[in-house]
Amino acid sequence: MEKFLSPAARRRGVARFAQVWARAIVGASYPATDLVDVEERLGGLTERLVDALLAEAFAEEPAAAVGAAVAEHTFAAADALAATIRVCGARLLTELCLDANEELTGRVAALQGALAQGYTRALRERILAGQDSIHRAAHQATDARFQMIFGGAAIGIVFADASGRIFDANDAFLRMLGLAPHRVHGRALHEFAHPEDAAGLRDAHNAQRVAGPVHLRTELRLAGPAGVTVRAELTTSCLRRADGHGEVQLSMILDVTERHRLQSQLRRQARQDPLTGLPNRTVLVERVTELMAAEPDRRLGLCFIDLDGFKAVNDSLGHDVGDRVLIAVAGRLTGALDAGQLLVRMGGDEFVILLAGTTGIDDVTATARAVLAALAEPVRVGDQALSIGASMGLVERPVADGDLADLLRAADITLYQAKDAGRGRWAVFDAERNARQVTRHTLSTMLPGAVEQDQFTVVYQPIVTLGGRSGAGWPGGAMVGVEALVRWRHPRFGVLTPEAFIGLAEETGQIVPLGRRVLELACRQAAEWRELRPDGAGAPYVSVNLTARQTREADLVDQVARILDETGLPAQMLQLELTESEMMSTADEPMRALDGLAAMGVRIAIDDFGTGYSNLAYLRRLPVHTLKLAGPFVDDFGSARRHDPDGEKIVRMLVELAHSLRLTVTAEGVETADQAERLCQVDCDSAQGYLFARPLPPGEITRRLRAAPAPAPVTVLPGTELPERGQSVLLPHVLSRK
Amino acid sequence: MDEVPGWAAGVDVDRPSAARMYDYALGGSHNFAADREATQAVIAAFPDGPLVARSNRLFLHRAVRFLAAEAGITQFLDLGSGVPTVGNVHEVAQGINPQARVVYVDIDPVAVAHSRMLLADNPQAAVLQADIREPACILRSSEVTELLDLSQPTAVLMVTVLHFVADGDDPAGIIEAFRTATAPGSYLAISHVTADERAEQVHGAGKVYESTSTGVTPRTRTVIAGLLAGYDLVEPGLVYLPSWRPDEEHGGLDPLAADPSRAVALAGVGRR
Ligand SMILES: C[S@@+](CC[C@H](N)C(=O)[O-])C[C@H]1O[C@@H](n2cnc3c(N)ncnc32)[C@H](O)[C@@H]1O
Repeated sequence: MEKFLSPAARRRGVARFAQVWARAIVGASYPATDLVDVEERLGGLTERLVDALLAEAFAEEPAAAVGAAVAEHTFAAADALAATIRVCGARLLTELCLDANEELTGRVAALQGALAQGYTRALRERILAGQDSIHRAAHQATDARFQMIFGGAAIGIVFADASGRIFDANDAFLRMLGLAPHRVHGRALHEFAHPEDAAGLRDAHNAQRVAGPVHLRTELRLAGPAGVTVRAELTTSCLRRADGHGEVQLSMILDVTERHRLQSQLRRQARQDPLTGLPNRTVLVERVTELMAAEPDRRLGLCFIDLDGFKAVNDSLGHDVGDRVLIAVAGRLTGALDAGQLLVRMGGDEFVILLAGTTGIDDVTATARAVLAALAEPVRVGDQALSIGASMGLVERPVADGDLADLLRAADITLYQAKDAGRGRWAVFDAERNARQVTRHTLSTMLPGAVEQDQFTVVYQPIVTLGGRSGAGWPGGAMVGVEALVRWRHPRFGVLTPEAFIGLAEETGQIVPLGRRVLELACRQAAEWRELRPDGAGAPYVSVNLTARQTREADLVDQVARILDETGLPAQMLQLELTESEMMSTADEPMRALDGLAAMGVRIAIDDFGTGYSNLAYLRRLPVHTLKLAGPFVDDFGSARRHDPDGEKIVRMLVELAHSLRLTVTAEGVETADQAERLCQVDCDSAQGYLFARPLPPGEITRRLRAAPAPAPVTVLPGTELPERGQSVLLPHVLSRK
Repeated sequence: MDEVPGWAAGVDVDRPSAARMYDYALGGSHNFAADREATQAVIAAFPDGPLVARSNRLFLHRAVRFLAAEAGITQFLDLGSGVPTVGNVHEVAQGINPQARVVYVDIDPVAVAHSRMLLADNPQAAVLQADIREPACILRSSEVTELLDLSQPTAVLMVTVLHFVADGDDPAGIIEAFRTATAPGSYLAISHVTADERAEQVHGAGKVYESTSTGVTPRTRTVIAGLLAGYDLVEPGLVYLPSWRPDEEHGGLDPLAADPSRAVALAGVGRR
């Protein structure tokens, strides 16, 4: 076969071709390999090409391997393939001195194809490998940057996988909790939370992985194995791939322990007297505010303590000694406290003891006594024994009766009264005395605002029957009505009674809006009480004071009608009281108003009957239903031992007169059972006074109504037929001790 | 690796880098789309770009071969070494003297990461990410102090890197710092772009680099010669790349040999 070549001719041909090929390739690519080297390698490749070319049974595949090798040696330089194909086509047969017959050229073409294919495959692999490696490098470069942040950060960083297991945590985190890396991996972050915070964190993290949010921020305590507790600010971000899989939870943890410590120290400092370590005024304010919110129906007491002669100690022995005295006193006082009492230092040599849940002033005086006992022994400072006494102002009242400022003012005023009276004693707050000290002027300027701000409340004093007395004694008389008595809950002066301000209100005309307000409150309240009884049977009527000025208001009748309408209180359940003198000074016009009211069914009562210049004649002209006997008559009944027969005669006569005019009589200011007994004997219908009850907050009346047995039928005036108007009853009212 | 992590995006990969553009111009595949795009833009303004790159690489090989074989240098400090491609300095040098040690320095984090991957198993080569404008940092780095003994002759390579240093960054001061840090008998090899000829093309190509992290400052022959003031240049002195000791036997034919000024960069090797 003409494909045969002598070994020598073949060797020469191969060498010549390899040389031509090498030059073509080196010119076309930049590799820095020696030309000699390239020639040598291409010589080997040429051998393989020639083998394939001259093989008995032709197969082009070996050329593919040669192509791949070329790509390898030339580092896949851009032009190496073209140069190779070109050289094969132009020179392979020539350099081997073979004829370019059809079969051989066909074989060369096939070899070129396989060569290109092998080269291209190898090139593709190279490019892909290059891309892989540069991407990996880019990743590493950024990863290096990340590692720098991760490793060097002062903030703890923790990575957890899709099931919440930690797979990486940085040094800062490990150091924060004193952990070794192997103790962290595979565990969940909540396992390092304080037991009280762990469940919350676990749930939040689990929820975040399922449904977000992307960022979670919380503050919690972490706990290390060595018992360290770290306050931490935690931010967890949930990273998700687009397919929703392979989430990573990245938590960043900032140690805020120190910040917390400082904050709580500051908070403590803000609540603590640095010298004695006692709570300070802030704590007192908090505690009282708390009581007001939580237990408004209970009572509290306050003992305001001022050390006697402390200033002298300070001045003569120096602040240092003074401070030590204060510390010692604080210790003594603390020792004198009962459970539940709060001792605070107000500043200087002033201390306060707060008592919650008191039942009366006795609780506070007991504490005052304990304070004096605690200070009885001289205080030792160095080798000096100093006698330290204390003066105290004591207050005891319902929690809701004014705010802390009221309380402190009352205690303070009282303290100075105690000091005035001499050292080492206490004084008890006296509201009346306090009220007297409040000037009329101040009050009159404050009245309009007070009406607007609704600073007035109403308390109710029960009016009870005398006729249906039980053997058990007087306080058992049935409550048939209540007198409404207004109170001014003054923000600075505390609770004021009507004597302090009604006169002023009358003078300034403020009585009109104030009166309307009181009427409204009283009617609404009475209507509520009525609801407590089936058909209203046995519910107390309400008796409200009117002043002369109010009766001169042109629309008084309309006003009352409207209020009754709005509150749903039947007219018969309302009684309006005017004093005898007011009644007498009432001109024609107002008289018509009273007529109008009476016509509606409202009862009219004469208050303080017997104190004025009583003109019995007018009783017939006026639309009156009830006389309220003034306190002095009742007082005249005296006791069993100091019985005043004349006084009793006058009362008996008045009652008879009233009954003959079909009026009922209510005695005011009843304080003793003896008085009640005698009033009953003279047929007086009803009574009110401390013997039965003081003025009470509405809630207390409600409570009594609830507790009372099913009501007896309405008490009818004894021995007479029903009066024509206002068919009953024991009408009431009294200004006594309001 | 089919996705670039979030914190890498927009940091390295989206911005063309001189190192990877050079790789692409040499026909390498260690580059990203942004690099290829920028390189295409350079080529559009300066069609000889890839040839110059090849010419430069051939010069680098000849210079290293000269330093290792003829000057007997065993320590190399390659500043602005770029993305490792074929025929890297350590391959050429270690091919001649297996004891040769090389420290590669580049500012490009990806180039550095790539070099590290490549050199992970080579105890005689180290890689440092640093800025040539901070010679003290480079000279005091543990890579340099642990691998090189600067009291012995060392070759400092600044091949195609100084024109990335602006005049304000004091290229002469940088060369001086490396010169004084190396022992007598040390060498400096540089190649530097010049616009003495073909100014329009060079400046057009330079514009493209403004979008990369590094701008280009071509310098005149006089200025470049001035930078080498402290060195005695070996033959043939400061010449266009293809003209520096052409050697067809080793490394092959320079594509620009016939018309050396097309290479737009001057090359020289000096002895301290
Ligand atoms: C064109 S490449 C040269 C690579 C190699 N020296 C060569 O000639 O084949 C330029 C290299 O210099 C690097 N480079 C640019 N400015 C640099 C600087 N201030 N400090 C260090 N390297 C810098 C680039 O990242 C790039 O890899």
